[in-house]
Amino acid sequence: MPKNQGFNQSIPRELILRAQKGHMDAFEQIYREFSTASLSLSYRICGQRAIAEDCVHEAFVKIMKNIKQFNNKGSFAGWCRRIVTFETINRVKHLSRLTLVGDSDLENLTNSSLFDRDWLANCIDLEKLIMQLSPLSRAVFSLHEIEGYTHKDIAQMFGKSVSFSKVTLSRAYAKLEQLAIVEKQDDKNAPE
Amino acid sequence: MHLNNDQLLEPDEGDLSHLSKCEVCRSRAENLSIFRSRLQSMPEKLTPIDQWQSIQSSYYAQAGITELVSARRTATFWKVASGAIAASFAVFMLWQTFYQAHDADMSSQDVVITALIKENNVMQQQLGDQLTVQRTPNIKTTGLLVELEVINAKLQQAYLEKQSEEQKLHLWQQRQILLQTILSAIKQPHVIEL
Repeated sequence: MPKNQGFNQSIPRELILRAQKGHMDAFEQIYREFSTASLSLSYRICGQRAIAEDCVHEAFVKIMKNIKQFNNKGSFAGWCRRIVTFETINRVKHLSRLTLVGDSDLENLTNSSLFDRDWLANCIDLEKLIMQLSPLSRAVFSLHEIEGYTHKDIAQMFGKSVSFSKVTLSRAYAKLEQLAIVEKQDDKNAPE
Repeated sequence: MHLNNDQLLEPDEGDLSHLSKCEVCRSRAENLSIFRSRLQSMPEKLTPIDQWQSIQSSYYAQAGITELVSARRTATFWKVASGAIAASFAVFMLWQTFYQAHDADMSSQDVVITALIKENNVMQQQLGDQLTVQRTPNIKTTGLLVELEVINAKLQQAYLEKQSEEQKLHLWQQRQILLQTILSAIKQPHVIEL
């Protein structure tokens, strides 16, 4: 599964311990390590820079307030990423009305072959295309394809079924395919 | 049977086994893999220069609020605890007074003291309720509560030293007036409360 490079950095245990003791310089160092990755993650999920910055702000305040609860067993970067993700998802939930997806919808999408053609390789401005997805599709797409969360993880984050995540991701890819085709045609028709 | 989109997007062990054998599916998986590589190489977003200062300010502000709430909880605990001790003392005195009144012939002063104790207890109860509701007493109320503690101590001493009924009556009257003052001070609205 693909992973965001920023959150793949490992933070020294001493630094985490210092932060847990309330040393502000340690907090700042942690922020410096993960801020860019956090903003990129949040922006790709919500699609609006101002909201993404606000989510990162709130997430880091939560990280600082709850750092004593981190038990040093799992990945600290993963713990931080989860807080940023949850903070952003909560905003996305407010932005878009979530709808439950049934298994019948899933069956309708599984027969298509999205990856047969190389439309993916021809995307010119990938970020622009992703930003044209609906907030919900963009959130699921970014979490699965960029952050490497599984359908099960995403379902838990949204409080929905695994089918919900699968269908939303398939729809996101279908939409991207359409957008890429339109983009390619527009590019061909553009005057030289 | 080839893998569908969902299987390609999140293959399990069986799907991976199929991929190793099926040229068509491997080609599709390769397309997806190239796309994912492009996703990973998308430019990162840079945070605003002053964001850390802003986060720090919010953290301090929220931490300050937490400490204030904690301090208020501690203050309320001590207020309730001291109120409970004073009430227990008053109940003890009341019981002792009744015991003595039933054991011997009650003097007119005994009757007055008994009535005073009853009134004191009612007011003490009101005070306890008010202090539980109110978050922090103002400076004036705090001073009066300290005075109440002093009178409680004097009353306790009066009974232990078996002082005269007149002295006890005087102390109970003082206590009643003080309780009235505290209750009226508490009921006044606060102008500013941080």
